[in-house]
Amino acid sequence: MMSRMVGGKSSWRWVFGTLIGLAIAIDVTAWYLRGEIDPSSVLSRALFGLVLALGLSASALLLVTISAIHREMRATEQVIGLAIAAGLGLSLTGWMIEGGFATSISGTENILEQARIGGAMLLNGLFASLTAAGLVFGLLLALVTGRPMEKDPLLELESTGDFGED
Amino acid sequence: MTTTQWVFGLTDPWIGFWLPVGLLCIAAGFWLTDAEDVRRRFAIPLAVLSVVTLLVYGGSTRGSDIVETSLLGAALGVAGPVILMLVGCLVATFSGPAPVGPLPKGLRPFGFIMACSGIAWIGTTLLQEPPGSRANGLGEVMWSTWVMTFLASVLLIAATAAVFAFIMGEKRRREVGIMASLAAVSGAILLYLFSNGSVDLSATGWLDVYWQQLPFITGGFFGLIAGVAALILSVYIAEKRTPEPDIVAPLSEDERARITDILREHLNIGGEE
Repeated sequence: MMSRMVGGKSSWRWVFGTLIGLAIAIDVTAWYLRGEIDPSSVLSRALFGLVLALGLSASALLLVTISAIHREMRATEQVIGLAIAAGLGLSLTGWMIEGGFATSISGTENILEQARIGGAMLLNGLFASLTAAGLVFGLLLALVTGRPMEKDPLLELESTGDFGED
Repeated sequence: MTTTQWVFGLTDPWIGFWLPVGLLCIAAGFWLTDAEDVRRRFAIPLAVLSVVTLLVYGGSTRGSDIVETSLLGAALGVAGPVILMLVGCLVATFSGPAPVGPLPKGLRPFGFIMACSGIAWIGTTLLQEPPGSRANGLGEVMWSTWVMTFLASVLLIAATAAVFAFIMGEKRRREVGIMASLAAVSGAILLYLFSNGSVDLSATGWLDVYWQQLPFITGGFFGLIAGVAALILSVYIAEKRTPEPDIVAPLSEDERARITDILREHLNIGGEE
């Protein structure tokens, strides 16, 4: 049965199904053990993370782009596009903090402080996720490359020196 | 606060933390320039300067004072296990039967042991009293968020990798078994923390961290993808707007004659004149 699934669409369905199913299972377990959860608060935290990460990542990419500009590069669209994305993300972040969505304190004077806290937390999460991905894919790479391979029979052949020239 | 920090104004997080982070981005941009570009020479010194600034800034951290030093405290706390896992994976890969393996084959089991020791090291930190830098306040939140994100990520990625290896490959039972074991260990630690807590943080504390920080970081992951998508979209638009190159007029008779002369002269076509 599996051989029919190799490389097909249903294979990817299994892979993504596992990923999503496990994520839901962890959430349900944590929900069951924690008791009451405010879904709107969870959603607003996720939205806050999304807009802040959009603003910060677009700003970082804008810095990289500006510092790499050279004469032959078509950079105008790239700079404008990233500036719009960064501006959008950071403006929405400021608006969410000012309005008290997803943050413990609100107000214009707290925008920078809350953005700093959020930015540091995102870097923390990014570091943890990259470490996890490095560990899993590193081990997988070591296992896959460590498989004993049969020698290529073509390499055993010796040249006769006859190239069919008449 | 040390004298060095005070002299260079590194007590301010904007100068001590966020400025070096921005300078690292600029160093990455310089690195992407052409090899003959003068900016390329400044890439490594700028990156080193940024890392040194971060180290000086975080040098006297106790972790629970402000968010940036808490982050550096948490990063420092896991530096040992992370380096152990990284080196273990590299040793295991390059001591295998692959043709690029320059290390002795006897080292291969030690590579796997080192990688597994890294995750075990993180597990043992949950059974001990934490140091001051992550015992309370923001330091504790940073540390527990790191642990929670790491365990959840290992569980999800390892389980997905196990399914991928099972479905896509041939004779991959060993790979599937190890990936599934890794996912099971992470899941078991996660479940233990949710049910019993650790030495310094109760189960409710871990669940609070899960529900407050994990949605934020998950949203951040999608935000990061959106930022990269914005870059790809802007490059796509730039490429679409690139004008077609002008159609070059065919060679005139004089130009043809000139080219023929040059070819004849240099390739000796048609013999000596």
